[in-house]
Amino acid sequence: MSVQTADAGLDSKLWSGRRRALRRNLTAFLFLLPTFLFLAIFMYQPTVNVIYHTLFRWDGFTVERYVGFKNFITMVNDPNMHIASRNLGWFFLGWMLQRISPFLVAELVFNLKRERSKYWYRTLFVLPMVVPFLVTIMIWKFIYNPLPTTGVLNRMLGSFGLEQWQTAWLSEPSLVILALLFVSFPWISGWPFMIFYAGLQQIPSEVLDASVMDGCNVWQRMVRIDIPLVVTSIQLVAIQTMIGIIQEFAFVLIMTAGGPAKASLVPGLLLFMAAFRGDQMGYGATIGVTMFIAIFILTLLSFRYTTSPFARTRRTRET
Amino acid sequence: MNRALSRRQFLIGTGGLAAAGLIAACAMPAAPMEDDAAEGSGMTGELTIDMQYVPGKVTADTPVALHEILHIASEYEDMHPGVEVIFEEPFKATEAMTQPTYFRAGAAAGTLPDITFTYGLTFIYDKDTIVPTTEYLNQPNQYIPAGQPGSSRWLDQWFEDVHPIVLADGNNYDIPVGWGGPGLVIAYNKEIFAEAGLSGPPEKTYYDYYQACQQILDTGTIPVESTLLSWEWDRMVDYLVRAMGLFELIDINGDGFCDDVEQTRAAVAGIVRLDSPYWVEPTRIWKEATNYYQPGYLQMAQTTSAIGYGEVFMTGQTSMVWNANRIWPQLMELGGTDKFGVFNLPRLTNKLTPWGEEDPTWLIARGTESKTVTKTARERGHVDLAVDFLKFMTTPANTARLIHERLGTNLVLPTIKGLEDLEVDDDVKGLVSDYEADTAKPGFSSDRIGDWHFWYEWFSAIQAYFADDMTLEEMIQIQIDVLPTFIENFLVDKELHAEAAEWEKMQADYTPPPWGDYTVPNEPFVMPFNA
Repeated sequence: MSVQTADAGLDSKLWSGRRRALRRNLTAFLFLLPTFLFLAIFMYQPTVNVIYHTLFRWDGFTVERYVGFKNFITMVNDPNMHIASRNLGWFFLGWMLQRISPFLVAELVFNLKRERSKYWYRTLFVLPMVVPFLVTIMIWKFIYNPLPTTGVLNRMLGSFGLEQWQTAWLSEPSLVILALLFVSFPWISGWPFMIFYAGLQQIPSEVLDASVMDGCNVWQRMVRIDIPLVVTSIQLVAIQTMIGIIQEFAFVLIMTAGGPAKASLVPGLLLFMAAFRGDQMGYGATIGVTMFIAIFILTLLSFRYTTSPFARTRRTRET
Repeated sequence: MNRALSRRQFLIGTGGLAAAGLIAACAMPAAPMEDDAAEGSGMTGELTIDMQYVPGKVTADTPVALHEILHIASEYEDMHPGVEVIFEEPFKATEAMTQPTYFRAGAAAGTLPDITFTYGLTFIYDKDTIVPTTEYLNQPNQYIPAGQPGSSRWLDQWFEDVHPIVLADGNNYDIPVGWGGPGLVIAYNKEIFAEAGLSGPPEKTYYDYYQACQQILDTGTIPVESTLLSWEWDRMVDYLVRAMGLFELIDINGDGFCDDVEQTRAAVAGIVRLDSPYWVEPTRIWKEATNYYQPGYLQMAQTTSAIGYGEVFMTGQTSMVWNANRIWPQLMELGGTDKFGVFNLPRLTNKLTPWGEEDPTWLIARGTESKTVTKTARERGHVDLAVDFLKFMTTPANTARLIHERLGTNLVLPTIKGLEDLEVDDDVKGLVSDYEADTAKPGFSSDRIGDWHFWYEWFSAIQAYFADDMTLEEMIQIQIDVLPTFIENFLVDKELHAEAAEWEKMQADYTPPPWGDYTVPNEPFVMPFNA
């Protein structure tokens, strides 16, 4: 009995403490409430709604019909999804390399001796960020123009006497993915460059000085010191790039609309076309949810298998 | 400075904001109430119209501002005090593929205007959203002078073969505008033609057209700027469907228009077969015809409203361009009729394929532009008013005004009687006489069957076939494989399973099919003049 009474007293104290804390923070909670309300209405509700509609055949306007997991079965068996996934694999490899490659440039700039040179190179590499991507796309459409007299690339080839190489770059099923991957060459994208550069700047100067004392050459320093110490920056760029690639559709839509003959079709474009051209909202939602799951799993795997040495050291100390 | 907000102040603030929000919400325009309907029960009120373009404004779709409808509306308002005609700016969804979504979204949201435009009513599933017009079409049109066609029965105003569409339930649901015709025409560069030894446009058949293309290609010039939009193929299918006697089998209600239900029924009954000559032969011919297209036509496949369409032709790099309607004003600025001419889409004859006729009747595009009265008008009591305005708008006098103005932006032809004396440009007059609208027949328009998925597969397979990544047989098989999925979805959406069972029984009536033991040929088509 006495034990129970003591427990009840403890509970009562605990609740009164929580009530006090709630009262103290009420104003803060009330201020936060509208934000959460908007988040719930405009972010969480549509997400839940999309998941819900994967179970329905629905054109977006009329009555929806419950079909269970049929949309998922259709998607797994959909030849278009197979083609889109295969194409996405190629885009994934190509774009991931493109986004990670600015690390080398950041490394070069970081190792420049003169601060003034560093400043100018930083500016030069970040400057392309101000050009809207749509403009870049239009420029590259112009470069790839198939006519020998109008297309920049074809004219260049012609002027070098390489007429036999002139082609319709975006009309050849075997060439189209390579042509799309080549867009924005030399791929010095400002955003990854800045992330990598900031990461390199965070490396303690003691470590760099020690590497010089130990006689490290540039290659050894990059592989043994810089990359391991900026792995979180690389991870950030890789995850952002991965999310972007899996969700990609606007670039492909504008450049090729997934053609020719589905040679550049990607899941994001398939989703867009199913939902907004074909009014198959349920099927579009199914593709969207699958893409979300894929991104989620890949992000978790990325966190699991790429860890910075700092974090490893901290974890070791804690244990 | 860092003073905390008291609870009282916070509650007063949020209460004030909530009150302001409530007042603002009350001030917003509300959905029409019963009182509004009562207001519009007579010939008064605000009549809202979506003309498919923005009257009086230059847009991407209308490079020259169209004002005439504003004058006509103004005259109508003067005749009917208490009526105000309001032109709503169309949502940017004016292409055939996006219009159904626009329409259904508007119907669901209650934002449709009283009158809107349609593309032949083929994609609108829910007939509750539109008002039947048969009753009105059988009424006199009081705006047409007595004794003239249409004065005693409005329907008589249209040429017999281009009268308003009857859907499978036997009702009309739309009012065609007073023009139609080719919709698409081909423009040619007279200088390039002269250099190739051609004194004028080719004769009026595909055979002659391709022969001219070959002659131009032989001089080293690219003959045609085009895209992979299916006009060329589609028109050839139209002629073969007519030539093989299939049109009458498909058009069960005999209105001269094969709507989506009729075409799907024909597919279920085995009349429409994708491995038959009328579907396959145009595909073979078309592939060969792409030898006359500009390089990269596969990538320029999406739409002619895309930026840059027509540039290759306008910069003198090709001798012809398909769908020249859109760029006609630019052509007039670049050299006018001294430099450029237009001609109709050619006819398919037996000189190119044995399945064609020797001298087929011209086929006319149907259902490309029409107006429909929506459920909004019904809810607001504006149906009579909407129909009355359309009667006024489609009189020969007003149609002539609208056509005259549109000749600046699109090449259109009258579909109503009483416009024989229409004064038009010489080049366009040639088109008018070509068509002889009183004898022309409506086309089959194969795009009224199939959903987005079907046509996407079709388009992708065509690209693969043209890129030599697929044989014709494989390409056709892909289409055959996809068709049942469309049919099943169509029957579910339209609740037509009971009818479909009857349609299947009809299959026996059409065996053996009119195409005998035709099999899909894999060998390439060779133009007869090159054989």
